[in-house]
Amino acid sequence: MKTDPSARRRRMAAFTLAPLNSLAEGLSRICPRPDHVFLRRPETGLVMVRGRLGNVGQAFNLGEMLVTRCTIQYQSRLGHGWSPGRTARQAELVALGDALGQCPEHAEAIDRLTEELEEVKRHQDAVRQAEIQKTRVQFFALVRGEDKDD
Amino acid sequence: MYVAVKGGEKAIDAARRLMDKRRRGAPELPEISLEQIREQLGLAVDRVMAEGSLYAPELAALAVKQAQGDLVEAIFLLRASRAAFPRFGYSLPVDTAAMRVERRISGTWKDLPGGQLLGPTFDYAHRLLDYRLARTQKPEKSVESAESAESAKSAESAEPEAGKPPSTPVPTHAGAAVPTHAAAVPTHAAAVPAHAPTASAAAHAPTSTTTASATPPPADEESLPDCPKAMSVLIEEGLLELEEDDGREPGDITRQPVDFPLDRPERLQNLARSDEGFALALAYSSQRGFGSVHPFVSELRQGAALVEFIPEELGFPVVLGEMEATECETVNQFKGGGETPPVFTRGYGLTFGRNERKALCMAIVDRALRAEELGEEIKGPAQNQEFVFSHSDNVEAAGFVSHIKLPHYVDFQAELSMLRQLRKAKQNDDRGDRI
Repeated sequence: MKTDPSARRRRMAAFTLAPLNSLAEGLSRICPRPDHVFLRRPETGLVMVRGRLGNVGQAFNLGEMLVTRCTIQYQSRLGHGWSPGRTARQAELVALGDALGQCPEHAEAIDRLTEELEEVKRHQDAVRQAEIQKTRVQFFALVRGEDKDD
Repeated sequence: MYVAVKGGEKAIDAARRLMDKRRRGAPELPEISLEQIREQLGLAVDRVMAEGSLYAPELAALAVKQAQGDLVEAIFLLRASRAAFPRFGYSLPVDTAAMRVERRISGTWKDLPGGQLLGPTFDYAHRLLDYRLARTQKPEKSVESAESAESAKSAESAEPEAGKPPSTPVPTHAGAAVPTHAAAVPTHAAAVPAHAPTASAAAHAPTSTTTASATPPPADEESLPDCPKAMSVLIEEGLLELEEDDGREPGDITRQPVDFPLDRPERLQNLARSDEGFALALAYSSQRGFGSVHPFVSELRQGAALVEFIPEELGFPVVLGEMEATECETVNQFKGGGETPPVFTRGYGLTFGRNERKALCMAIVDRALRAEELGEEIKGPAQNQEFVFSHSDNVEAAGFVSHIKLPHYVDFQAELSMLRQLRKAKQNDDRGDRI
């Protein structure tokens, strides 16, 4: 299961999008003193973001996004982390979480943390969405009176 | 010929320090923080990211602060900052259909699947100064008091009389006056909806549009509402040209020298980072007849999209983060005829952040630039891709225009002596005539 890309993809996404505090707190519960080493120190760089014509047609380059990446080794596991902006700590923790998820003794706890953090995000989005839903609008087109006789 | 000048180091240094002092303003006032700029001047940050061509809210806020609010200067700073970072690669194309939508409107469909969400917008606000904002409110209180003021106000003015001009221009809450938009500001420049193509009915019957009473559906934590693209309605009926992905790698104007004519993806990359004022003027000129694009807005959506990237070492896509973006899709007049039945044509705009005006202009100019492809007569600058591409970037444009402020002493001396010679020659000729 450690190499199952869909599970890895899922937890990395959850960790990348999680608030830094919740991620740090969650990981420290699972592994209070991680003795990981950096294989690639957090490095900030650019990814050219692409869109598509009409969201379905030819791809085009929209502009770059600032991101930070990092690779760590925990015991014999490699962990990769990517996060938006200049967020070295977040990238490191995402990588650590990724590595822990590959260790049989932590895998279950990491899965639970993934679900927990997804729930946090879902809740955040729902709160924001509730605010947005108040602006849902229904326009009516009114028929004018003079066509009544037809 | 440009001849370099030397000297002035001390003065230049002092001028730079003075500028920094001006940036700080009155020292007894607290210094503005990047968080405050991000949170309270978010649209400035968004514009700087779009035109600086770098999605990095923190750095864009820093640029706004450093540039003292001069956004073109801030855009220059952010654009230049890219040079300090390595490029890791290209993302997967973002899927705007899967966006976490925060605003979504259509000028073509009253009822569209997923509905219309006004979201945060200036559209229906009276352009009146809100003097309540002149006072800074206490952090927690501000939200509460604004909300209660709004509900009180909207209860009071629930049914404003049709055609009645906006009441006294006292600083009432702007959002309360929604239904009177047709009467509010009759000039098309100020009231967006009054000029929209679908608002022709509104022009006849001032109260023909109204908002539903605010009864939001309960927040459903499990499923956020589904919001398919408005265009799909037309596509199902075959009334719209199809965008097709031929899998070609798009050109990147930041990496390759440009060669006219440009493909549509390269043009869109350029438009995405083009100056908003320039794009606005082009779009406006096109609507007024210098290019004949006057489209319908099929859909304008704003929200957060996931950015995904496939790192070499992993070989599967990872999420890099959420990106706020604005997208605009327009429906325009027809192509086809002869063998193929006529269909609507499309224009497309996509920008970083909340940049609605820009996304709309981008879609209009994108469509205008397709003139040649669609066999249209080229009669305006918005249709001329070399003109648009070469003048749309405000970093380049400001640089070239501003460079004439710098010392040109020797060039000028050359022109001066040439002028003197010409005048002398003329004088000699005149004297010769008289003799």
